[in-house]
Amino acid sequence: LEDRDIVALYWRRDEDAIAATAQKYGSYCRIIGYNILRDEQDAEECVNDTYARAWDSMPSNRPDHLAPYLGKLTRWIALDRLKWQNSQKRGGKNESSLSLEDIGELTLQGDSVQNELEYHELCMAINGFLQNLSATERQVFLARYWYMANIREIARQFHFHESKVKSMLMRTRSKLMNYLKEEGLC
Amino acid sequence: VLNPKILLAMNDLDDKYLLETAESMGYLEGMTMKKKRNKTFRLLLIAAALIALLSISAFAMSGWYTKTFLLEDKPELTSMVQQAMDDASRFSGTNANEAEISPVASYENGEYAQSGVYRFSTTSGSIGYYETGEIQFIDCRSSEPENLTGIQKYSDPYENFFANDADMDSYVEKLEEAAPVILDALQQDGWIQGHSEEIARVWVNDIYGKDTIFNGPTATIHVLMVDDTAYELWLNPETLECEGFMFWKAEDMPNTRNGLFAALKEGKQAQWQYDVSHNPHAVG
Repeated sequence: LEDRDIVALYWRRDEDAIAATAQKYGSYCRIIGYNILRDEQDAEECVNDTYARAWDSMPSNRPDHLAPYLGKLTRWIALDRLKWQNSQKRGGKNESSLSLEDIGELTLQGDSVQNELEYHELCMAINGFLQNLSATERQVFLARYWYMANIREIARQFHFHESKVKSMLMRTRSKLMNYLKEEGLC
Repeated sequence: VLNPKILLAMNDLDDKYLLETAESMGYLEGMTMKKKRNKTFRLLLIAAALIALLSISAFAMSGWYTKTFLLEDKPELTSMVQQAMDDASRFSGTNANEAEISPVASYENGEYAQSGVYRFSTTSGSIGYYETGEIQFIDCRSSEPENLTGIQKYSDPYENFFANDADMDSYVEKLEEAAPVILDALQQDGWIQGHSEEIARVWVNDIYGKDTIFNGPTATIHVLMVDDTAYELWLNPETLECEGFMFWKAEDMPNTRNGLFAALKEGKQAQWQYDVSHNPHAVG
């Protein structure tokens, strides 16, 4: 089914929408959930929550592309779950989320995004920043920090050595920080 | 470190960037293609394995790599190796007939394979012979030549060289500065000809510790030029002194080591050293 057909099923409140979503995008959502949580069962629960969230949000939303729409839902849900897991461990980060080790302590405290305005400004600025990157730099950066893929996987997909990926990420992070400072957002 | 606030704010990035990244990572329709490709790849792998098995069987039966074959049936090869040894002061007085002969393995992604290079190891060092009949590298220095094999070179990783990722990143940056200087020096010394001026990327392939073909820790650095030629530099990881290098043919890189394979004449490595004093952030 095309995305618009699946969205139409949601709008008609037809439960086949869930089955169609699972068939077409289940793996995609599972990858995102697993990359963040590093646990198959947690990832599966994330995916199920994504379907529920999609069911609740359509209507009123009518996304053109279901993949990023569902991906964003999954990512939010997984990060939220990670935050909850971290809060269950006194002062510790999720030990299973090895892929997050080299992006530092992901504490995800409640005050991380204090207001919507700041959030949207940051998001717009990052979009602007990404536009000026080369396609490869952008994809490697997002593979790591949006899809939370581990370095080895990224290196394999892009046919780079791991040190090259790390080096590229470091430079892009540095560029982003400078950019956000210039924009007065960091 | 990426600020968690930024990580969260990234959630609503433009769909087009998320889609292109998902495609590049094989997360979407690419996943189907990836599975197909993997299936095809597996079939190719099986076919390659069968061919390799047959080749190895024939290879073993022919006794190609045995000393007996080389000495008795390939006197011209023995003579050629002896001549190369005689030309290198390091091998002074070494008898090629006393060399241990071993195939040099190529190594990629944890797999070893025949590289087409054979190493004649002696107590004075080792000498390489390429299947095409050329002497391709000489005078690999080692304190323990009797233990040399192509595989052993990759053992004993030099652990903890990088305390963290930032160290690795800054090291790669330093190598990006050092590589052209080393390549220029190699060119001036006649080892390589007309290398591309522009480096596409540099990465650390491996850093391993003692008991390698060199006397101490060695970093293998891969330098890919914009014209798709590539070099592997063997450096002292601390001083960036170049101990050897390898050139990959464009059509072979980056997975084979069948290109021109060269090591150094004794005493030359200092000339190929990147002068760390030029770099305020130099290692050591």
